[in-house]
Amino acid sequence: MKIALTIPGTNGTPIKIDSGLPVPTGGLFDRGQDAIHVFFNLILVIAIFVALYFIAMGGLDMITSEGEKEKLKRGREKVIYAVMGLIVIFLSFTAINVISAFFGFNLLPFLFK
Amino acid sequence: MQKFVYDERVRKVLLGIFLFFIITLLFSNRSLRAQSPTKAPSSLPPCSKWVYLFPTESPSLGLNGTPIPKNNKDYNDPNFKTRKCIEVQTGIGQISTEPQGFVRSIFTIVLGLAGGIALILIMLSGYRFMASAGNPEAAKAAQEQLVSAIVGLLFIIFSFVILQVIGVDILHIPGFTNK
Repeated sequence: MKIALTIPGTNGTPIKIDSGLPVPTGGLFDRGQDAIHVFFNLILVIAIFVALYFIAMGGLDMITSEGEKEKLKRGREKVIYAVMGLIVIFLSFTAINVISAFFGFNLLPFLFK
Repeated sequence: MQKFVYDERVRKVLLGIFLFFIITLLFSNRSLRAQSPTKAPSSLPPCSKWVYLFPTESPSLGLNGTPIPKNNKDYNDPNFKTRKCIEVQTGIGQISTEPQGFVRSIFTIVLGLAGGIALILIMLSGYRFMASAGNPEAAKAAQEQLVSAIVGLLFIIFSFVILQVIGVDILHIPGFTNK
């Protein structure tokens, strides 16, 4: 299926414009599944950058603490929680897959067949 | 300017929109599929799997039914159906038209939605962990969200496990078979 357009020409012969691109079909299990894949990949990539930001901020806090115990602790906790959040996000697939394998149901048919 | 308040009325409106969307999704056979304008719309939903009633016509032999002779009165009738649609293609996947398969399709969709929502909630709790930045209250809230997401998913799964244990293993209800 392709997008094709005909417009009336000058000498009575219609001009046909063929873009050559296929028409995207709808449906969740057709092309929409790719969108879901992209969505979850995007979440993982954004998570890396957010974690990077918070680790950098925590490091900056530790550098500029100047021996201040409270600020040092705050910076360390920022780093720790950033790493913890990253681990939670990257283990979310594993958690769901472990549950689905344990009970024998496919919980992510949108992602894995 | 009036401030936006998330009260009961707004909640009802949002719930109504959501339910309308879900119902439209469930009962539409073709609304989510882009149709070519040149193609004439047919009254039947797009069928994705047929069962041939007579093995002589089927591309893969061994299905139900026995071959009927060509001189049979029914065979020469053009309206006589020799195949049956057992699976239709909808916007939310392939749904079987047979009772057993229909139940299985609904279970698959519900479990898939539950798993997907749980996955998104777990990821959200991870983001909240990161954004808590050492704030103990925010970290506690994120941890509670993480635990709640997993426990909610387990509750949904347990309902299906209980159904399977009682219906399949104890009562042997016909149709509820393991795959």
